[in-house]
Amino acid sequence: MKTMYKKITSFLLKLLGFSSTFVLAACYGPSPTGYREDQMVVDGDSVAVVDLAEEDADSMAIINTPSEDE
Amino acid sequence: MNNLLTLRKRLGLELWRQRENNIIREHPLRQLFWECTLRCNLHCRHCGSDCKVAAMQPDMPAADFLRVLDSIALRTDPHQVFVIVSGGEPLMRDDLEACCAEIYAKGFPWGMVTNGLALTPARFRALIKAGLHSITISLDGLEADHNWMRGHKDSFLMVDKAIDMLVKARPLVFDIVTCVNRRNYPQLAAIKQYLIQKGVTHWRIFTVFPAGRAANDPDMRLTAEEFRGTFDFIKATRQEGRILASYGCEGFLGSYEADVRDHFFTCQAGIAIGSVLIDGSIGACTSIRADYSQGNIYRDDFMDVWENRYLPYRDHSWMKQGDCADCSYFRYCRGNGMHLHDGDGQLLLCHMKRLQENPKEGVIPS
Repeated sequence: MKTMYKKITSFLLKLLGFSSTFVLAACYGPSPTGYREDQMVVDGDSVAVVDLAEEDADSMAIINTPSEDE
Repeated sequence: MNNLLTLRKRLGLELWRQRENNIIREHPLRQLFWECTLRCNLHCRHCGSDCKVAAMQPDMPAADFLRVLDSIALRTDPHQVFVIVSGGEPLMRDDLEACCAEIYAKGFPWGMVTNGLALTPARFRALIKAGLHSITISLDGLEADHNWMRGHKDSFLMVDKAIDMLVKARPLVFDIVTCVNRRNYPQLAAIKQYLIQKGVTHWRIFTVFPAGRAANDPDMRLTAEEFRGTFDFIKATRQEGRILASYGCEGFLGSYEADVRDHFFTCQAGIAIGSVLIDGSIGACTSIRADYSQGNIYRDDFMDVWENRYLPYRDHSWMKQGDCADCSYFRYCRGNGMHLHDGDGQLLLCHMKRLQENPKEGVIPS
């Protein structure tokens, strides 16, 4: 979705009193595994959802990367 | 509680509807199920796939699925496509870890759904090493009920051990999924307590839909009062805040919308979710048992199919028939979940209709 559209949707849902998790799902879609929502909700009530989108791909790549000692 | 929507929810649903329309136009592939085997080490009463220990269909060779991923990676960022390894029971494959390491090496994050019976510490470590990002484990009750549902005397014990491993492996994302039925419904509060004590934070609850083995099992189908009570239970649990309970993705729930899930109802099948089934069929989520396949990986290029077909998934106007024809909620439910339609297009279960069978508040199990 376009960034501006996400911002408007986020703002209106927040205005209606929906939680940040809810706002994130509206912008990025829910996940059957819960993975996306969990990774993207990083600071409780933040609605900085647009910035998180770009980080998402990177966080997917680094999470659970095998550590040296394994 | 009646099923009328408040103004706040109606406005929220209108925003969500706009979102849906945008996503349908863009249909970005975000989740890809791989039905890697139909073999299973259990014989669950509610199995939607009707799996057996020795399946009629052989496991899909990993190389065949990996070719699909290569095709996807040419057209979209693999980091944005989450592969969900499903079955059958994925752990029946001895080469699962090797397959998943290949998936991960191609840049695709992946997770899996398992019954936990074969999830030994050694296999779990190997899966983590292969890039496991998320895992869902099924738990359908405390010991007696779970083992009854799963048809195996050690099933609960192994899930119990698996949960301990998962809790210690955080920040690995995991959740527990429970199928509510007539037998475990009175135990919901006890199951919740058990999960909280174990350290579980995410609990997904679903009700049986009439497909597979559960279709004709009277022990599986909740009464109208229990059906509503399940949503009251989830709502109350969420308000408590000790564990994040959510209803599964299926079903538009009227006034319960926004109270039992972290999002409004949506069926993303064929819109953001695709699948490669055991015989190579190209479909959407693996819960869809009627034949709505759009092609086959042994004949077609997956991304060509994804971009150019999937019309029944993206345009639900064909669902506006029968009870749905004049229903004012169709605007929001778009005919309910794709997997709730049989091969003739008939809707097998309308959650709103079931809720209306019992307009009074359900009895919350305590």
